[in-house]
Amino acid sequence: MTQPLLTVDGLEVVYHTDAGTLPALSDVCFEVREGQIVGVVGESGCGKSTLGAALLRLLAPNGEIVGGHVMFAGRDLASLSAGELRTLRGQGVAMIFQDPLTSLNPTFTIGQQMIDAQRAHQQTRESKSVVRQRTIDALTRVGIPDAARRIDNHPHEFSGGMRQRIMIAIALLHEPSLLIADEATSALDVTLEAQILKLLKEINAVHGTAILLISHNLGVIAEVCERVVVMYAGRAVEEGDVYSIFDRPLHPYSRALLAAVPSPQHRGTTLAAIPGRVPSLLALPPGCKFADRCGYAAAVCFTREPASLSRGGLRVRCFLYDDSLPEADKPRADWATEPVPA
Amino acid sequence: MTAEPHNGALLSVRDLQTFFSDRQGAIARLLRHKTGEVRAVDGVSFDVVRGETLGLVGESGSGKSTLARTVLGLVPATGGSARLDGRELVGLGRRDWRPLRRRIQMIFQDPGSSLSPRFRVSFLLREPYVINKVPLDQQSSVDELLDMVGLSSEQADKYPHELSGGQARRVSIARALALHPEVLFADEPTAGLDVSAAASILNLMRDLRDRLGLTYVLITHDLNVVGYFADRIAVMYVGQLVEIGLGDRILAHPRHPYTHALLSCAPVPDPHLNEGHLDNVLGGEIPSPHDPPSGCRFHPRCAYADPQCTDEVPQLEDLGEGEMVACHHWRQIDLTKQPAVAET
Repeated sequence: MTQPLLTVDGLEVVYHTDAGTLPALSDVCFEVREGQIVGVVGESGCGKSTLGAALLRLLAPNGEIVGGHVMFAGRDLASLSAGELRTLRGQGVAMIFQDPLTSLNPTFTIGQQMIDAQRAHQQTRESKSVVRQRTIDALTRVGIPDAARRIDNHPHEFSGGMRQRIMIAIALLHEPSLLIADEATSALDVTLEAQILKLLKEINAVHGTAILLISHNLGVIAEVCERVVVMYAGRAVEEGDVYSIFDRPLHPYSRALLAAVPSPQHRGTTLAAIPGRVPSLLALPPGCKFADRCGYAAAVCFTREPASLSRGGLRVRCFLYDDSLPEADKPRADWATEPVPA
Repeated sequence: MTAEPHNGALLSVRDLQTFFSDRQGAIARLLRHKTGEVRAVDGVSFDVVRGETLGLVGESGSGKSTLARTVLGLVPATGGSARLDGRELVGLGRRDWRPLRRRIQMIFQDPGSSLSPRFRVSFLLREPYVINKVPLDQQSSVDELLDMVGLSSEQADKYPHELSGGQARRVSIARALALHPEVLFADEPTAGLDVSAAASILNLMRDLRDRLGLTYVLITHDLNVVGYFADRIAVMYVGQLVEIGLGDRILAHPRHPYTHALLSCAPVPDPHLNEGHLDNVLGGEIPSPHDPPSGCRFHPRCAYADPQCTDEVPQLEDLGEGEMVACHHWRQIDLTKQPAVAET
C-alpha cells in the first residue's frame, strides 16, 4: 500500500521553440504510492500537462527532459529501451486525455480499436474470441450498457460521457498500476463529471490502481485526491495531503488560488482575484516566480529562488518557512507563523 | 403556464418556445432518415426585476443559450412572448428591434469566435454604434469603454489574438456595454478561464452592476459561480424550467429532484464536504430535445418517479414571490432523506 510506485525527482523539462528555450518544468519532485490518488492542480501554462506527458515520455517533439529522474516501480524511465517503454505504457502506466474524440479514431469501431490496443501490447497472440470477450468485459466494467452490441459502434455513436468511459476502458485493458488522467472530466457536464469521478474512485478502490489526476478544478481535486501537488510556473510550489492543502495551505499561491474560487458563501463580497498575470516562461523572474503577485514577498523573494522545504509531511517552496534566513530578511505572514501540526 | 406577468418586471418571458425543424434534403428523405423537430426551448416563463441577477443553470443541451438567443431575437421564437418593459420582442422585424437592441445586449460565450480576428479592438468597440446608427453625441469613446472594463487604452490597437483569455472577455463585455443596455445576458462569462481570471471577471461584472444598475441574466453551468453571483436561480432541463426561486433557498432547500441532484454533483473545493459526496451521483444522461421523454422529462432519471410522472407533464406551479417548481410530487418528497438518484 505504501510503496512508492512513481517517484519524480528533480524533473526538468524544456521546450525548444523559435523564440528560445522554454523551461516548462523545473525541479519537480513528488511521489505516488501504490493505490494512491494524487492530484496535480494549477492554472493554464503551469506545466501540469507537460508533467503528465513527461512521465510517459510522450512529450511533443520539441520537448526534452534535461534533468532529474522518473522512477516507476524501481526502474528509471530514462534507461528504458523503446520496446520496454511500449510495455510500460499500457501495462504499467496508462493515460486518459481530456478530449476522447481526438484520441479515438472515427473510422474504426471502438471494438476494433480496443482489440488493436491489446494486440499492440501483447507478446503472445490470443484467439479473437478471447480478446473480444475481454473487450466486452472492459466496457461493461466502466458502465457501458449492452457492451456486447455497442462494441461494434463507431465513436460518434456515443455521447461525450460514454466516450470518456471508453477511454478509461482502453486505459484499463492491461490493468495498469498507475492511471494518469489529464483533465479527464473538464469537458463534461457536472452530472457526467461526477459519474466519471465516481468511476475513477471505484477503479482505485477495487483494483488498487493508483491515479495521478491532473486538473485545474480545485473542486474535482478536493473530491477524489488523497494528496495534492500545487504547480506554478513549472514548479511544484506545495505538496501535501488534501486536508492540509485545503484547510491550511502553506504557500501564498495555494492560499490565493483557493480564495479566488467563487462560492455562495462569498456572495456580496469582492472575490480575491490574484493581481497580475502568470509570468511568461520566456522571461521568468530570477527569484520566486510568484513574488510579483504575492502579498507577502520580501526583498529576498525577488532575488533568490526558494528551495523546496519539508514541513510536517508537506513540502513547500517559499521563504516564509526557510529558517536558514536571518529573521530580518524573512518574509512574514501572520497565518504562516503557527507551527504545523504533525 | 399560468403565471401572470409580474408587476414591475423589466423582462417578462411567457411560454416561450423555440423549435428547430430538422427538415432534410432529398437524399436524407430518400434514405428515410427520421425527421421531426428539436424542441430546444419548450414553454419557458420567468420574470426579471430591474437590478437583479437571474442565474440560468443547466447542463449542455438544456437550452440555456437558445433561450437567451431567442429573447434577443437572434433565433426566431416559434411561440410565446418576451416583453422588455412591456414591449413585445417576439416577432419584431429588424427595424423595430433597433431601438430595443440598445436596451438589451448579450456577452457571447466564446470571445474567440464572437470577436472578429480581422479587426482591432478599437473597431470592435465602435462597431455596435455603426450597426445601430448611434448619433456621435451618444457614443462612449473607446478609451472610456476600455476603462470601464479595466483595460488600458494601449489595448485599443491590438487584435483579438493578442489578448489573453481574460482580456478578450473584457472586450466582449465592453462591446455589450457600448450601447448602455439595461439588461445584459451573459453566456458562460467565466468558462475556459483560470480561477484567478474568472474571479476578476466576476468582480468586474459585480462592479458594473452596482455602478450602472445593470440587470443580468447569467447563463452558466457552474453552480459555484451562480451561487456567488445570482440573486435568483432558474434551473433548466431539456428545454424547460424545472424550478426557479431565490438563490439561497434553491441552494439550501431545492424542491425539484433534478435541482437536488445537480447540486449534490457539484464538486466543492473542500475535502471535508466531499465525504460520501459521490455515493448518490445522478445516473444516465440528459435526453435529446429531439425526442424528449413523455410526461416529466426528468422521470427516467428520477428516484421518485411514478406512473403519473410518465404520463402527465407537470406544470410550473407558481408559489408566489417568484418561486416556481414543476414537479408532481415536490410536496411529498423529502430530498434531505433519500438519495435523489435512480438506477444508472
